[in-house]
Amino acid sequence: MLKSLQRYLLGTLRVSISGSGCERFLNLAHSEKFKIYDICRDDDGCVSFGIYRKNFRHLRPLVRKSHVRIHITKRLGLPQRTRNYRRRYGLMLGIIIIAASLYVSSLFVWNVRVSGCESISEQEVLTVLSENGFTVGGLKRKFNIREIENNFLKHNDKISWISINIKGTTAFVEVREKSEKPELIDASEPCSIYAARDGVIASVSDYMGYSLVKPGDTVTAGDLIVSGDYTDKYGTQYKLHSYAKVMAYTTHTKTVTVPLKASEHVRTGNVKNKYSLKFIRFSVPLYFSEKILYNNYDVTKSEKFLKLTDSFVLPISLCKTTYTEVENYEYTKSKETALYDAYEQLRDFEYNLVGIRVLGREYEEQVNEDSVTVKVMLNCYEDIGISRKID
Amino acid sequence: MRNKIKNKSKKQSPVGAFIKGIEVVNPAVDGCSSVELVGNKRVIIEDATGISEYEADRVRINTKVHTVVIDGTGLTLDSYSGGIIVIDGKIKGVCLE
Repeated sequence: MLKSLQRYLLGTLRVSISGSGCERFLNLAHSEKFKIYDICRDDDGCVSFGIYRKNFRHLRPLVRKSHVRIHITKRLGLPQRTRNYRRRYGLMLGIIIIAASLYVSSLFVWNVRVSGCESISEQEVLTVLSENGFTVGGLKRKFNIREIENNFLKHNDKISWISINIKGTTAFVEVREKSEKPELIDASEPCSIYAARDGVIASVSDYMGYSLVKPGDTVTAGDLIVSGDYTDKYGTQYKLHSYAKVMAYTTHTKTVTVPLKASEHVRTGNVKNKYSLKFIRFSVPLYFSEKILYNNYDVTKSEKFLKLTDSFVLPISLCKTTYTEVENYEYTKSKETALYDAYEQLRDFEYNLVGIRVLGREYEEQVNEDSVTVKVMLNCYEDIGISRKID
Repeated sequence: MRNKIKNKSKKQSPVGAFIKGIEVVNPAVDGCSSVELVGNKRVIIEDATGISEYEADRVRINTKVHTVVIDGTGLTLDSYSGGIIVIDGKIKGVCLE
């Protein structure tokens, strides 16, 4: 493979020799260290072989010594191919222009790929990047990546880490989002524990502080449960950083109403595509009429860049806009289906209660003429204590 | 006496004994060239000194010690460089002269 490529690039000749001294010629060529290959005896008695173009003129003395006649039967390789086009200046100019434009386009960033987004959108990241000077179409060497990364982190509270790597003409932006931290009170600051919601106290494990309730007591949201500010029998006032686990029996209620009349968009199957060619920011439409034949439709847009490799993207792209006709389909649900949907929503609500143990459920159904209402009351067991600073 | 004669006839040179001991044939030490036959499609001859005859059905290659004659049909010299000749074709026989 490599040898074939080398032969193609350097150019080879297929040479034929005839006469009585063919063997001598081959021996002399070998002793002079000329690389000859594919030696074969033709039907007409001639010996033909392949040789590099550059070595052919050095064969002249060997031909004289071995008394053979030599002639070229075929010219192969890239030099021979380019020789045929040597007078076609327009083609040469075109190749030079393409090579130059490829080189120039490789100096810019034409595509930005964002990864690692979970709660924030990629568009949001791109907007913040462009605010910091990192835009598509910018010159690569003018970007101070470290500075852009630092500025990005300064101006965006949701991102904890960002990395920008430019490969070819594509910028790979990797982000890590900040996880929401609970508001923590400094351990040296005095605080008390309050009830987060209504309930009946099951147990209070006060590791630090003075408990004001006992199991069986009823509390409402905002009641003081464990105080960090108390005075002992000798009159000494203490201000502590309270820490306690307050387990209580609570109730969570949720009401879901599902209307019986519903509507949804149904695709009719009629689709119209419109293409446009985009060069940097200039778009050339490849269609004549702007008119859209449908009254109700969904629009989806996709952009396909012309690229040499995965990371070497050129500033030319084909934009495809798809118009899909939709119809607003109105229908009436059966009561069973509506109830099923309501219970599904309630199951989702229960699934999202994190850190709460559900001990029991009480459902209450109400079927009206145009809707179905389901109310659930969950009997739960949870930690209701929240810390608040003592003023 | 008979044992002594027997021992003498078996005696080898130290180099020969070493080559035999490591179980390889070293052409440089032995002075012979190597002829490798790959199926009936290819013959590789090392330490060739020249081609004395080349026809489509017969190739005669000179080596340091002897001449290798290859008989066959459609014989071509795939490469000839560095004293190594690779002959392709349908090989019917290889003999040494």
